[in-house]
Amino acid sequence: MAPAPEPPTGPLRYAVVFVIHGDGSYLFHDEGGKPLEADQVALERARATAEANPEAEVFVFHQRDRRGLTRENGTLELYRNGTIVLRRGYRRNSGGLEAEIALYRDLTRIAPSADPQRLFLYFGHQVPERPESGYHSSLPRASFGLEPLADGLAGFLPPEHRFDLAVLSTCNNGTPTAIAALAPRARYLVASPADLHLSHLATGTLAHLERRDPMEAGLLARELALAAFGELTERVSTIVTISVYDLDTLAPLVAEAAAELQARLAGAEGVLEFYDCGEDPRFSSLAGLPGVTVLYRPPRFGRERTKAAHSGLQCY
Amino acid sequence: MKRFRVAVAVLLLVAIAAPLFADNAQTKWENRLKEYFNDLLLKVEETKDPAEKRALLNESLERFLTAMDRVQRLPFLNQEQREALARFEAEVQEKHDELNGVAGFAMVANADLDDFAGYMVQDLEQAMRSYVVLSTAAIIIIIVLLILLL
Repeated sequence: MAPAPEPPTGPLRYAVVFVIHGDGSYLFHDEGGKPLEADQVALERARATAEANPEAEVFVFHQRDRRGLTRENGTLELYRNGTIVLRRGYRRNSGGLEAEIALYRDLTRIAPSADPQRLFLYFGHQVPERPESGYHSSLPRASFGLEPLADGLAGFLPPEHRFDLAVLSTCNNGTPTAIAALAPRARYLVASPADLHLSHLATGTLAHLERRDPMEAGLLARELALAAFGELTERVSTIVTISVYDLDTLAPLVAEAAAELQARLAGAEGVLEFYDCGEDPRFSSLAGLPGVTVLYRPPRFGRERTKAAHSGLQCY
Repeated sequence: MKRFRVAVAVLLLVAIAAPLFADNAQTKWENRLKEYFNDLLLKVEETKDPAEKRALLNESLERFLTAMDRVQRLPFLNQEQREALARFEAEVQEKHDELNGVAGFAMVANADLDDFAGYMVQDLEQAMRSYVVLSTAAIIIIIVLLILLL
């Protein structure tokens, strides 16, 4: 039987890649004690975003554990012009994004010469500062970290291109190291420089991108951060900190701190202890930097309940 | 001969199925820990008397701290696992201290006990991944069993 023809497609002015990590424990409980899976919440939001963008090509990669007798540990949903055109399982063999990149390159309809607005969104646990094993339940020996993630971003891009906006819906990835690693791959970054509640960042602001000026990625980043911040602060009583990083402005300003942190990583063993860079006199140069927009609300309880401000950057 | 064939068939099935279930083992036990704290929150919210609420929180936190203490004494843990467990234990200890107004904390007011229990669940669900991921499934299983048995 011949495959069903794909529906005709209109212009594709937006290239969006969601990578949703669900290959581990993502259980959390809402305010009423109802159990929810964070990756499923993110998946629903990604689908809603994809369906609300008639001029976008949206890849939604769901990295998950293996189920039943299949060896597949990922699912791809591909949307064009607001309609799902493909849903298929795939197999990941490594800790990085190699399997996703191979599928993307094989399936994208956006020509390398085209210049769409490009968005990359990652939902998961904290991406380790240095590559570590244990991140993926189905691949316990596979290594993953900021460097493999940054390499992965490059894999989705034509040469000499960057994402207009990268979003890391994870804990503790608003660090100088992350800024240095991602600056060659993205113009703006939205990330949390502290713990981020498992329910993830809301992405409702990404609906109907065609109604916006595609050049204003910085504005889009700020609006996404603000909406996610508003939604989280209403629901959770833990710390909520979301930062928008203008990577062109920031990368040279944090280069020295990033190098120092990298040197610390090389000699460090065990679990990293994260803290606000603004609390460390050795990183006083990072206080009040241009290019960082900080949204912060202290936790309702705990030692930091009286902490009035956050530098927007996390150190260790 | 028939019994032998059945035994071989069962062994083959187990050999095929075991890795599939092993993938999810750590996730399931991590989830069990999260459910432990959420069950506590629900019990606290159902209880009317503030003294009983506080007692429930204290009892569960102390049971958890005792379990963590015993697990950390296991001889086969490596340094990274010990450190991860100690840090997670410190997170839980801090909740216990705040609840009771020690170690520099003001005691959580009676009117805030439900909110505090909710905060505790959210905070530990977040923290757990940072610390417990470095442990092995075996350690998590031991923690859960100790909590249940203590």
